[in-house]
Amino acid sequence: MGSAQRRRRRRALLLLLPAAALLTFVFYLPVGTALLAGFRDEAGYSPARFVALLTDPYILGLLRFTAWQAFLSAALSVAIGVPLGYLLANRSFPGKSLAASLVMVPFVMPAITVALGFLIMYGVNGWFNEVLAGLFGFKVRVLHTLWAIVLAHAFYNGPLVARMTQGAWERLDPALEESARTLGAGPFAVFRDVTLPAVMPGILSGAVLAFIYCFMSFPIVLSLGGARYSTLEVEIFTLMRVLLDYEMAAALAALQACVSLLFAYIFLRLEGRAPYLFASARARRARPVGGRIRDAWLWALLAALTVFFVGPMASIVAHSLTDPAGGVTAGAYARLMTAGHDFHLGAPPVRSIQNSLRFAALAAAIALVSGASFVYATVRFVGRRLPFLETLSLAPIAVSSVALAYGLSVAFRGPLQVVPQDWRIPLVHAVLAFPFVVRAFRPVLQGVDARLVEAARLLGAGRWRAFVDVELPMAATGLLVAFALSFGLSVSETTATLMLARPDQVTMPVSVYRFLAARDFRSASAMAVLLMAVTGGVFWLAEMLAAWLRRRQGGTAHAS
Amino acid sequence: MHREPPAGAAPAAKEPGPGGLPGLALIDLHKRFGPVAAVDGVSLAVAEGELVAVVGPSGCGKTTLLRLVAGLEQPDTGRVLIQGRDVTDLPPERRDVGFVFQQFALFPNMSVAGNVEYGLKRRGIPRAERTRRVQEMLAMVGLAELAHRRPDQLSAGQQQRVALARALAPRPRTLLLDEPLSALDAAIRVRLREELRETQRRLGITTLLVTHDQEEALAIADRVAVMHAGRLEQVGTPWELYDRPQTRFVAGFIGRGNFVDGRVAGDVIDFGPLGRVPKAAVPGAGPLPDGPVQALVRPEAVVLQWPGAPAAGAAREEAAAAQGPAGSALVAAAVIVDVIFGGERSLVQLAVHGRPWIAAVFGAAVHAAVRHVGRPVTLRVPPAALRLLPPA
Repeated sequence: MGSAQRRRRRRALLLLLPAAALLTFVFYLPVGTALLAGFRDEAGYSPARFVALLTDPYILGLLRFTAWQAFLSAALSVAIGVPLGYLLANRSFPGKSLAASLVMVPFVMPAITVALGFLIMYGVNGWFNEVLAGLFGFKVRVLHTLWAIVLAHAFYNGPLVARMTQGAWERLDPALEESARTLGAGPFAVFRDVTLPAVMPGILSGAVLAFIYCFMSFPIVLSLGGARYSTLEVEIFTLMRVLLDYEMAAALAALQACVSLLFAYIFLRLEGRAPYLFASARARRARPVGGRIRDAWLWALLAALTVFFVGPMASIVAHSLTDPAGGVTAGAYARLMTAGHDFHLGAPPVRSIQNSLRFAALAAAIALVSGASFVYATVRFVGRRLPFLETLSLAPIAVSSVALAYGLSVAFRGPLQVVPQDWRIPLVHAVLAFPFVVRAFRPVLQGVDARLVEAARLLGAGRWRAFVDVELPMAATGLLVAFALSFGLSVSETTATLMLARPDQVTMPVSVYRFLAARDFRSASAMAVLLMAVTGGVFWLAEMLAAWLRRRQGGTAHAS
Repeated sequence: MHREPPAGAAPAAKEPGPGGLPGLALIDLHKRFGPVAAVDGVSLAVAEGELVAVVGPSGCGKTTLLRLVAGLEQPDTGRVLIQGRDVTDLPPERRDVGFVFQQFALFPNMSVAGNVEYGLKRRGIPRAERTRRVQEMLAMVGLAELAHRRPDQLSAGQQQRVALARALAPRPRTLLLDEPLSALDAAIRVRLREELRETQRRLGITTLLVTHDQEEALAIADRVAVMHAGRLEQVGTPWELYDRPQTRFVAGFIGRGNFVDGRVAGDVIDFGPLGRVPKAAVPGAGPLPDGPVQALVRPEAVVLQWPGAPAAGAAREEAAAAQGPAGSALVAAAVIVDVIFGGERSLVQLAVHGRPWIAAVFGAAVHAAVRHVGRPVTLRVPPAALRLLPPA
């Protein structure tokens, strides 16, 4: 008995090892060292600078604006994400499976691409304003206003809220709503008394997550907000890269991390609540969006969502194909394929595509191995929630990416020198993707009944064999989604790559960035299109593979 | 006796219950899901205060039928009448029905009392009255002290009682039960089904119950409707269904039995090696034309004779029955394969001409049967016990 327990503990620790190593060496130590600089002065360490920040009216104003724009962005994300989540969970409509498999693509688009799409679409002479002028005879100024920031943030986070709303809605047992109907509740009362309490935790955790992202947002604010708007992250960037005031930047990053970690903790608390109580005994049947008057608003909603999400992306595609002399041309793509090394761009564009794919594959593999074994150890060997450990695993999304990149650039020159050049960027991307792997894989593994493993072991399978034969096939779809998400996040990661990559390590978003800096909008658009194609393609492939796996298993994965 | 299967249900719809208008009337309901006809022309009348159980194998459309009554599905064609009022076009919340779901569907975000109170609230009943009614309902199901618990803190049996109290609290005109006992353990299931029956009788509420468990249906229903592939095969009292099944499906689904093939020829029915009996001696055989028939023999109608009993050798008697003029009973030589002990009644498994038969034995005969396992016996079936079925 004692030896069996020792073996269990040894296995759990062994499984936790990759995650612990990754997070400690590539995240906590470098970031911790960087942030500690904020508390250092001549006499040693003191919280003086940190306290001073909290009484500085300029910093408080920044904090207020950062929180305000994050709040507005989260609110708009909810306003967009909840109806989208409703449609995905409850209705069927033309193109739904495509929409469902590509819904997370905006979330992993690099900020620079989103900014580019918004510039082309919402600019004073962009087609959005041209259409407005043609229909109603007026234009609106979107760019360089607070609304540009908020809209772009909602473009990112709306899908996130949609996914979480959809998840909660799909879990809700339809019999609960039906029993309320038979007890005399009309559709509105059912929504208020049953549906809303069931989906609210999902919506709220989506909103809190959206708030965290928008609170940390940096390239969007910088590129779409114009000079008038600055957030904490922009200020950290300015202090660190322009004013070279590392101590001040570090103190500010520490302040920012405190706020976002607080929200991360709230997020985890919300997530642990209610939705499982409403868990379903039978699947929801998706009703088609029909031709009746009552469904007219849904069609309008679908059209608006399509314009909102597809518009900026389509704008980039269209722009990449326009010929400055008029007409359509693939010239920009041809230039990408043939251009060589350039002073502005660094490595040739083809090389940057290769880099992106190689880094992403490596990063996704590292994130998957460490994230999945972390989840496996906590779900199967610990068996209860560990809020502290989970908050720690979530921390990479709650810490300033500028501070992370700075800490790492110091560390890679110092104690982490032993890490080979080609592994550095994938490791950083793996750290950033780690929380997503954990979030995507945990619910799937929890859905696999532990008794199936016991049954396999009683039939003579060893622990490893049981994992390979029973759990792996049933959890494979969750792993695929996690892989696609990690891959997409790595391909689109810009801030850390920009600060860490050597000239020959340029990736696709960095290349977009450089093209823009060189005022070559068409090449930037063409590169952005390839980038979207890569991330969209990975999501689509993952979805196809998952569907194929589900078919092959004949739906057994849903039986438990 | 020999009616067309679907028509077996139709006449019932025209017979109102003792109180005049039926409490619930279904008229020619149809519902398709894509290519599947889930409910395919069902008519049924449930008298005021009556409990009708719809029983059938899973996938036969019985739950869909219940959902059509509740308004949770819309029929393609057909009408639903509650106390004579056409409710087909009304949404569920205005049909005044109580519904108990298979997994109970208690609101997890409300207490037990909150669940029971919910329907009263939606009907705008004043608070004082609501509180009184909730207490009354919880006392009725014996859960008064658990009023402030959350549903997930209750056992399955307690959850079932709360679901029933919740459905009954607004005093609906009709009670609909969808497999209300299937989520419970066997022991508690029998107790709760008696409680359910008693409550239903006391309140006198018109009730439609859906179950796959024929034993449960026979035990508590006033009448049972057997559903198969979207149609009602037969509607009748438990005894009628057991004693006079009108289709092969009903005969096989309700109770157990032996099936024998025969042929009507003139005024006798020839059952091959089992012998021939006069047509006039078999109930309901009168109007049958010449041709093949199938008969059902319930286990308790099979009479076993041990060797050494007064009768002559079984083989000789059987040969005489098969070749001679129509005899007084079907007779066959059989071998006892096994005896399944069942307390007051045991089942004897027999082999008759290579085919399995079962017979019921009572009291001291059980002991005799056990002693004769593996040995030949004589089997007799009086013609009055034969139940003719339409040819399969």
